[in-house]
Parts: sequence; C-alpha cells; structure tokens
Amino acid sequence: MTQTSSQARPERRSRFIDKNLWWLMPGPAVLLLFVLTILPLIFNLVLSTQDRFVSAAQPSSFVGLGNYLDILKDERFWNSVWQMTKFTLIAVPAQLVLGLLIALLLNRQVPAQGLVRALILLPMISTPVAIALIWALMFNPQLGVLNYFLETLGLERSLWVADERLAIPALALVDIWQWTPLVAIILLAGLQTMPEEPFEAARIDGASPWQLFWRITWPLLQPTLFAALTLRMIDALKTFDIIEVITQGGPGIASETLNVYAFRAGFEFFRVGYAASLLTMLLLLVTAIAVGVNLLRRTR
Amino acid sequence: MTFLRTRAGRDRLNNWVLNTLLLLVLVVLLFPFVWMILTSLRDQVQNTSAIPVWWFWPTLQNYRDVIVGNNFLFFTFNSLVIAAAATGLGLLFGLPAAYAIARFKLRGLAAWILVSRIIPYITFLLPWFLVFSSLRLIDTYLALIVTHLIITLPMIIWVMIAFFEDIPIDLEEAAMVDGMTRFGTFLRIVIPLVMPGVVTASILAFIYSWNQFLFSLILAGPNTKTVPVAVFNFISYGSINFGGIAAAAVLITLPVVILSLIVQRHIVRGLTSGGVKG
Amino acid sequence: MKRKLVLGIAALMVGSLGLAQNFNWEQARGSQIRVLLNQHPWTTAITPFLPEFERLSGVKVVVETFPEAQFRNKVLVELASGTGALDAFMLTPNQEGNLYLRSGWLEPLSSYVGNPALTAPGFDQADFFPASIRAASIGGSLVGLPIQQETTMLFYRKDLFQKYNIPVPRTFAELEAAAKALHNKDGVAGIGLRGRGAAATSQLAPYLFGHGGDWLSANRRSRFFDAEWVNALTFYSGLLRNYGPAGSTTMSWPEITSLFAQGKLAMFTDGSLFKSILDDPRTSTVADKVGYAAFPAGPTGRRTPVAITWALSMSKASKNKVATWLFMQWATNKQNQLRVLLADVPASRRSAWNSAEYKARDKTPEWSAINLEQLEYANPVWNPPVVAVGEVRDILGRAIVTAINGGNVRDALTRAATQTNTVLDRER
Repeated sequence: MTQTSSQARPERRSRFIDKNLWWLMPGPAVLLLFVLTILPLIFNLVLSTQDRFVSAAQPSSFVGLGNYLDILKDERFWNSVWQMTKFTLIAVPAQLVLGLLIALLLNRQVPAQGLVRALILLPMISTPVAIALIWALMFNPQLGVLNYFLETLGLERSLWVADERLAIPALALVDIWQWTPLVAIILLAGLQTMPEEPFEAARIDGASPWQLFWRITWPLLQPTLFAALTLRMIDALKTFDIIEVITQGGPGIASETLNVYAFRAGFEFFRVGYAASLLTMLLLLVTAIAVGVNLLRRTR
Repeated sequence: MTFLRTRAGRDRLNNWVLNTLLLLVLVVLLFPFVWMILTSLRDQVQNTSAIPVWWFWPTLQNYRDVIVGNNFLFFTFNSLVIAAAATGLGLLFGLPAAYAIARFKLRGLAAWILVSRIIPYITFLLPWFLVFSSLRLIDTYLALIVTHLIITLPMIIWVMIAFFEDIPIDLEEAAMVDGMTRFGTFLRIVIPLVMPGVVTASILAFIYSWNQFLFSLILAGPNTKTVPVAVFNFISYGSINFGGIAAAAVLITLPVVILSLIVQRHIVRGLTSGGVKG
Repeated sequence: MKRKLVLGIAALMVGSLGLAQNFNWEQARGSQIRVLLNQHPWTTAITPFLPEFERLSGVKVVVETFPEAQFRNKVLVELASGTGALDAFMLTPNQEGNLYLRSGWLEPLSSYVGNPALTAPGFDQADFFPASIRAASIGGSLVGLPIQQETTMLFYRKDLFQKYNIPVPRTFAELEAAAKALHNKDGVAGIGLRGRGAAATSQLAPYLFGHGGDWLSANRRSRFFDAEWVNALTFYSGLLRNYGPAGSTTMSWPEITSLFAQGKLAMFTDGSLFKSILDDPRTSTVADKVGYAAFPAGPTGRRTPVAITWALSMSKASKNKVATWLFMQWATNKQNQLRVLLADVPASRRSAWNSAEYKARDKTPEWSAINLEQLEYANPVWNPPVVAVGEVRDILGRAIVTAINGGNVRDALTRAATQTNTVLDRER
C-alpha cells in the first residue's frame, strides 16, 4: 500500500510537470530576459521624463515630455539621425548586392569549399575592437596602407575618416567588409534549400541562366533577402563599436550617429535624462524600421 | 579557341572566371588580417615608413610587450571564464526555452526574444551599473556573466529553435508511449539528437560574449578586466604604437579564428538557421 | 654619476625612514584601497615604487589604469554610483573639479594637511608651486594633491630651423612665418596643433588668451561672440588649414606627438609633458633634434601659456580615508616627485626641480628653465569655467572643426555661443 502511494506521487508530479511544460520550460529564460532587458528599459523610460544630471550638482526634476520636445529642436539630434541614415543606406544595400554576388559565386562546386567558407566568416566573428583598430591604422592619412594603394594605382591620396564628407562612407566601408559575409552565408543557405523542380522545368523550356535567375531564383529568394535585410538594418542602425573606436563621431560630429550621440550625452555630458530620451528615440526608429520592412514583405 | 565551342569547354572557362572572382573576394576580405599580422611583426620604424615595408626580418618584440608588459594571459583567463560561464548558463536556460518554443509553437515568445536584439545595449548600461554598484558586484565575475547572458541567451534560443523543429515529433511520441515523461524525453532523447546544434549555439554565443566590449568597459575592474578592454588600453600613452596594437589585435582574434575554423560548418548552419526562417 | 644618484636616493630613503619613526605610517595597516589612474607618464613612473608604500604602511593598493577618455568616464561613473568602492583617483581639477565638488564627491583635504597625526612632518605643502596649489583648490578648498604641473610649450625641429635659417618664433606672427617657410620642406608639415573637436579646446586656450580673449563674461554668459575669439580661432584654424598635416581634425596629442616623433612636423605647441615621448630614441626618430621654446606672445604682447595640473584626489564616499590619505601624501612627497621628474614628468614640487640629482641628470636644461619660468605667469583656466565642461568643450570643438575645414568662423562661434548660453542657463 505504502509502496503504491509513494509511486503515485512522483507520477502525479511528473504529470503536472508535463502538463505545464509549455510555461515551465521557457519560464526561467523569460524571467531572466525580463529582468535583464525590460526592467532597464522601463527604468530608461522613467529617466527620459526627467531633467536629470548624473549628480546632485544640478537638481533633477520631472519634465514630462520636455526632453522629447527639446530633442526635436536639437540640430545635433537631426544631424545624428541623418548620419545614421546615411550609414545604413550606404552599408546595407551594398551588403545585400555584394552578399548576393558572393552567394552565387559560392553556390556551385568550389575548390576547397570548407576552407573558403571558413575564411569568409573571419571578418564577422573577429572582435570588433580589434578590427576597428586595424582599420584605423589602415585609414591613417599619412601612414595608412590604403593611401599607399591609391597612390600605386595613380589616384590621389584620401583623408578617409579625417574628411568630413568621407567619414561616414569610410565607416560604412568597414561595416560592408565586416558584414557582407553574413549576408552571403544567409543567402547561400537560401539558395541551397530551393526546390529543384521549377529549375528543371525552366531548363527544359530552354531558359538561359539569366532568365533562370530572374524568373525563379530571385522570387524564391525574396523571403531570405528580407530576413537578411531586416537583420542588417537593425544592426547597422545601432552600430557602435566601430564608430566609437575609429572616429568617436568625428571630425566634429560628421560621423556621429544617434547611438554615439546618446552615449556622449549620457557618459560624457552626464545628461542622463536627455540621453535616455535619445535612446528611446533610437529604439522607436529601429522598431519602426523593423516593422516597416516586415510590412513591406507581407505586401509583396 | 575550339574548346569554347564545346559545352564542357565553356563551362570550364566559366568556372575559371568565377573562381578567380571568388579569389579576389577572399583577398579583399582577408587583407586586413594579413596587414594586421605583418604590422604586428614589424618594429615601429618599419611600421611608420612612408612606403610599406613588405619584406623584413620579423620581430616578436610587440608580442612580448603585450603579453609580458600587459598581463595579457590574466585578461584572457577572465574572458574565458566569463564567456564560458555565460554560455553554460545560456544553455541551461535557453535549451528548455527553445524546445518549448519549437514544440508548443510559442511564436509570440520567439518574436519577443528577438526584441532584445533591437534594443541598443547602451540603454541597459546605466541601470545595470546602478544596480550592480549598490549590490557591490562591480568588478565581479557574477556581474559580467549575468550581463553577458543578454548576448548568449537570445542567441542560443534563436539558433536552437530551428534545430528542435527539425527533430521529428514521432520520435518523442514513441518514447512517451514507452512511459517516459515529456521532460524525460527532452533530456534523454531530444538533447542528444541536437548535439550538433548545441555545439553551434555554444560556439556562437561564446564568440559574441568574447567580443563584447561595452559591458566590460563599465562593469569590469582590475580583477575581471576582459581582453577587448585590455586591448583598448594598449593604445597607451605615447606615440601610437602600430605594432603593439596589431599584436594585441592578433592575440584577441586568434582564439576566435581557431574556434571558427575547427567548426565552420556548424557556424554556418547556426548563423543561417535564424536568418533563413526569419 | 650614477653612483652619486643612487647614493642620493638612498639618502632620501633613509631620511624618510627616519621620519617614519616619528610619524605612524602604519595607522591603517591591513586595509586596502582602490585607485584609478590615467595612462600617463606619472602613472608609469610611480607604479614600480608602489610596493615600497605597501611595505611602509601595510596598506594594500589596488591600481587600475585606463587611457584618458575611458579613464575620465570610469571615474565619473564610479563616483556617481556613490558606493565608495573607489578611494583615490587622478583628477584635472580645472576640468571635472567643479562638477565633482558640487556633486559632493570630493573630500576636501585642508584638514588632513594640517593634522600632524595624519600628515608626516616632511610633507611640506609650501614646497608645491603656488600655481599648482591654486589649480588644485576650488573655491578655497584644496581638493587634490598636485602630481604634475605642465605648461604650453613650443616644440620645434632644431635641424630644420637651422638648415633654413629660421629664427625660433617669439610671437604669433613669427610662428606663422616659420610654419609657412617650413611647410612641405623635407617632408614635414609646417605646424601641428590639436584639431579634434573637444580635445582642441585646451590648446586653443593659450592662443585665445594671446589675442586678449576670455571664456565668460562677469555675468556668466559666453564671450565667444567677441572679436578676440574670432581672431584667435581664425589664426589657429588658419595655421592648421594652410600649414598643418592632412587630416588635422582627427588629431589630438597622441597623433601629433606621433607625427613629430616620425619627423613629419616642423613644430607644434602642446603640454611640456610630451618631451618624454620626443627625446626618447625608442619612440622618436628625431630624438636628438628637438628644440624647446616658450609659448610665443600674441597681439597683446604677453606670453600666455596655460598651466595644466594633474592632482591626486580622494573620493568623499571612500571608506578608507586614512589609508587613502597616507597613500596620497606618500605618492606626492618630495622623494616621489623627484622620482617622477627623473622620468621626465614635470613635477609640481620646487624641491624636485632644484635637487642636485635632477640638475645632474637634466639632459634638457632649456626645457626645465622654460617650464619653470612659464609657471610664473601661465593661466590655470585652460577650460571654460562651467560645471558641464564636457558639453561646452564639445560645443567649442565643433566650432574649431568647422573653422579648420574653412567654414565661417564668426557663424560657427555665434552658434557655439548660443548653445553654450543654453548650457549656462541650466546651471543657474
């Protein structure tokens, strides 16, 4: 008797666990992520309604939406949005185009396939701080190797990131170098999981490789392209390490994106409340663009 | 020219052109690494000469400076401990969560976990700093491991969902008919089957935790400083030490490169599984 | 000579041991303090001697160093947290002092210096340069012990000036003429000056004072509208645009000293501290060709270098104040100030400069003489005297970059003035 009841209890318990598994299993992770991300986010929102300095040197006060109204009048904010947009609009399309080309190059019998794919990964898995330092050395107007190449090719030396107009394109170049491989790898996976039948049917109809690509590959690749686009858009808008290490937003504020400006406002000017509202604006923009890209994809 | 008229000949030419193009791509992608290594092996005079010195007698002095003069091994140890622990805990919390999302089709939860990708990390920094300082946890492994979970946990969940979805449900149902509980099935049947996925997810999580710079900059101290921060410190007072910076960059990149070369196939799978399903 | 030096130092050590018998160095034995330091030659020079303090006092010192920008961030973040995990740190009182003091983060030190139970008899506060003590005092309250005292100086290439027979500039006009004459000669740019935004403000300051300008008016409004400002910035940016190295808007002192050390600059003006990089053959290809001169005189006819003081300060939230104070007075005592001076760090104590040891080993007496002479009249206010210094430096930095890039100086300064006044309004 006693034996059966002591057996029944663990069984009941395991049945309870099985029935509630759908929330017991993700529960701890969700709780942890809530504490790690959502709580700070709420804290940040609260901060953004205050005119709060980092210390008692200036009293803090509740200002409601005051910070946000100030932001709309802040030319530096608009500059940072513009630089962020420029950076993203240069980097992401280039990554998609180049990534697609590389994916197509890889989507056939390639000599030393394993090694090639491993090498292609290197830019995106290397430590951003290290990469940024190396690019900063290569960009150096006096001693950098890039200017040496330009001269060898008979072109004029460039100031690269030291030139106000070139700072963002040059930083975008680093981003393109770093993240095109990811796009290529994602698109390659998309190419390799495509069904064979439509291609065979078209080949029987005598379609040229060019027609094959535009009529079949391209439409079938759309979902993967949008996934890569979303992923890269979000990350490009938030780029921080590379800009902070190479230019610190300079010359002047010529390469200061919204993320970098918010960091300045918070950790250099110590205007915690204002920085919090800048970060909220950034979050809103990133979310809006992520949602926008997804809506665009639905309508296609 | 006759071979161009045959189909095989055309294919061969095509292939040759495409392979050359691919080689060109590789050269561009790898050049910064080559330059980094060359710079790390030259002395300051060679590195600052107006015309790049391509042939030279390599010196290991830069590496000696970085390793001996900067306690590099200690920072490497810190990075290792933090990345390994954050990855381990990420697996502990992330595997059950990913399984539940895959099996119980918790799409909303999956999307919500992606949200943590959207939020700029800087948003978390100040709140975390205030909390950790009042708990006197600044400069402890605990603080860094917990914050690095923000990188490892979502990544592990996201990569693992795809792997769990690939496990045929019949297998699990068969095990449950044999009297195993669902959780038991998960532990004993499913996890061994997704081991390749676990390896992939762990390595990716480890790499991105290893690379993390901002959190350690603010939350680490003398006892827990990680390699990226240490490398940044190497841009020290005095003239810009090209060779030293490059040597430090090589040392920090090396473990990641070796890891990824060993398991590149898995990494490709991991990186694309999230992306393709998008 | 080396032996004489060793003997000298040994004598000093015996001296300090003798004092230790009267003064209780061990009153905080067993405690541990945490110190944040800038990656600075002072830090490099003092670090090897720290075990000596640990033996003397029984206090364990945990030191962390960061490059300057990260260092400043880190100190602020730590102080703001209010946890008291930080005990002592390096401070440029003219930059963050005002903010930190008003935030209640700095421990006033006057009561420590005057207390014989806490301060060893040989400490001798009067030995510090008055300029250094003034710089380390805010509103009459001593908030740090000076560890180094630099002044703006002109560094030039002796060989090039000789070769082209150009006199060492004594005025701004001569400075421009020299830059013009040497620009693009022998692969050098005529002159290097900081151009990277905020970092450039402190080096624009001596040119501003040379043109007779100043930061704020008596009623605390920005004076950037003034003609003196327009003239100063026009001159400064003109030098860089016409005779400066390519990409000067990205350059602060590391880039400029690097260029000079690689033989690519004819001259530059910046803190006297940087001598240590330039005359070291391991880091400089022009080590034996560096000339030193006083900062030239502007249209006002006066020489107007600025004096930059680094100090060691105590956090008000520190839980080990006695141990921290013991460390601070030890680190800035006569012996250690001499040690750092011997490592080319411009010390803030007269006794170090006047010591026989230093005089015997001084390879560049002209540099020493200029630094000491300039201290008599150098202006210690090298930053706009506001609480939100970082923000105003940044605002000005943008005007400087605009000017170097050929933008309208008056417009840029007008914009900067308006923005600065907004910041000042917040501080009322």
